[in-house]
Amino acid sequence: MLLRRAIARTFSLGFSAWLAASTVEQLRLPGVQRYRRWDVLGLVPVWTFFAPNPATGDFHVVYRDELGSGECTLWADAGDGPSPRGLRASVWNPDRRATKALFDIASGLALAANETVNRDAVQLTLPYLALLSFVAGHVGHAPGAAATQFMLLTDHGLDKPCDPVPVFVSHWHTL
Amino acid sequence: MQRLASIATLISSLELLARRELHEPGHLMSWEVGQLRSSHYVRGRRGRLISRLMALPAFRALLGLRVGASAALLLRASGVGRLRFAVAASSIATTMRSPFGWDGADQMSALTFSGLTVASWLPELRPDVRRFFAYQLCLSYLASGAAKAVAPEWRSGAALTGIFSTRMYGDERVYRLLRERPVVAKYGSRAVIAAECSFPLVLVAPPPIRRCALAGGLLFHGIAALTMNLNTFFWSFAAAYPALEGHCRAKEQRASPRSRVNRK
Repeated sequence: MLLRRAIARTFSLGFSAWLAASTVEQLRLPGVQRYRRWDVLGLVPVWTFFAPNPATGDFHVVYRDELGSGECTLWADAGDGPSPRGLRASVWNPDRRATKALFDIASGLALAANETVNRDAVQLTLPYLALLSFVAGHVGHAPGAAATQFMLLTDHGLDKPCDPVPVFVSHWHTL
Repeated sequence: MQRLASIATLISSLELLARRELHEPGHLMSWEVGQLRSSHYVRGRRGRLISRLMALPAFRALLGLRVGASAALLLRASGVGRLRFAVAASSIATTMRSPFGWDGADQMSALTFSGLTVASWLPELRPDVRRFFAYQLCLSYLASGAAKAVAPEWRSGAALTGIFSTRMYGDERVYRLLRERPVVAKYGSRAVIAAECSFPLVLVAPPPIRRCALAGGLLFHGIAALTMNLNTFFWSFAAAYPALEGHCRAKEQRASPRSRVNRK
């Protein structure tokens, strides 16, 4: 009985701590963000959707290959960008995972590229590695391709006064 | 609450299985990259154990477990505590696989089933769990509203128009309406900001106003599902509404004169 009460009390305090941590997390203080890496289970939610800086354009990933002869292919779309959706997507929307994953990777890479003085260091970030793995392993490469390079672009959504704008260009990577 | 939350996790899990290639090595949500974000996922016995769980066959089995447990909860199968735990554990484990591709609906689902699991094991904690859900729900809207309130693009309506211009979350008809009528965009944005920031007042509002606010919240998520295709947000957030209503009613009953007389 005493043990059960102690366990219940612990859980009750745990919920209070969870709520407190969630509240502090929403403040996005730099000192607090340092401790985010301890949240390995991802239990502390981030509730700031679409704000303060929402996406107002779509990201595109293109790539090209370098052939053994030294020639480069044209830039090609790496795919998995947002696809047209109908009413069915209000209930069943499996494509949103790919779209969201690509968005998270692209926005993370754009942020890393902006914040880092050493461009080579960007290659060690998770978004870069994720995009490199995807481009190297899951898009069609030209026969005889020796190396590949990818580029991240952003457009202005349906407002398209100009072509998509390059955000980041990777180094060449051996295939 | 449980059934609404189960719909969210069922749809989410089936969607993940429908796009199973995303979890293959090298793809956008692969474990090979995901595990690099923490040394806990890589080093030692714990890292090896987690890697085995996140390997493709085991991960797909985990998703299958989540589908089965969610469906069983929807159909009101017995062993509710174990089923809730299965959904909670698989929800948390699923999002560990990659830092990319998840959203607020996934967070709310993991949180909901964690609380429901504890409420099954320790029924005396049901009021605490209800309070936790109520406060997390209020926090989610307040944080979202406050983040919008400090952004000039949101206050002017440009952010809302911009979001609807994207192929990811947009809708061309809504975008055209907002672009042609910037007043709608401006005051629509401000209405969303005001509604989100004031949502925590439901905790102290009289019941009719509280229920109107909750109905407004459901309408908001319904519109988001229809126009932005944020399908699982509707179910995962709506699931917390009964907890908030239950928490407020319990508070009102405790505060009512009759309950005070009974306690004396």
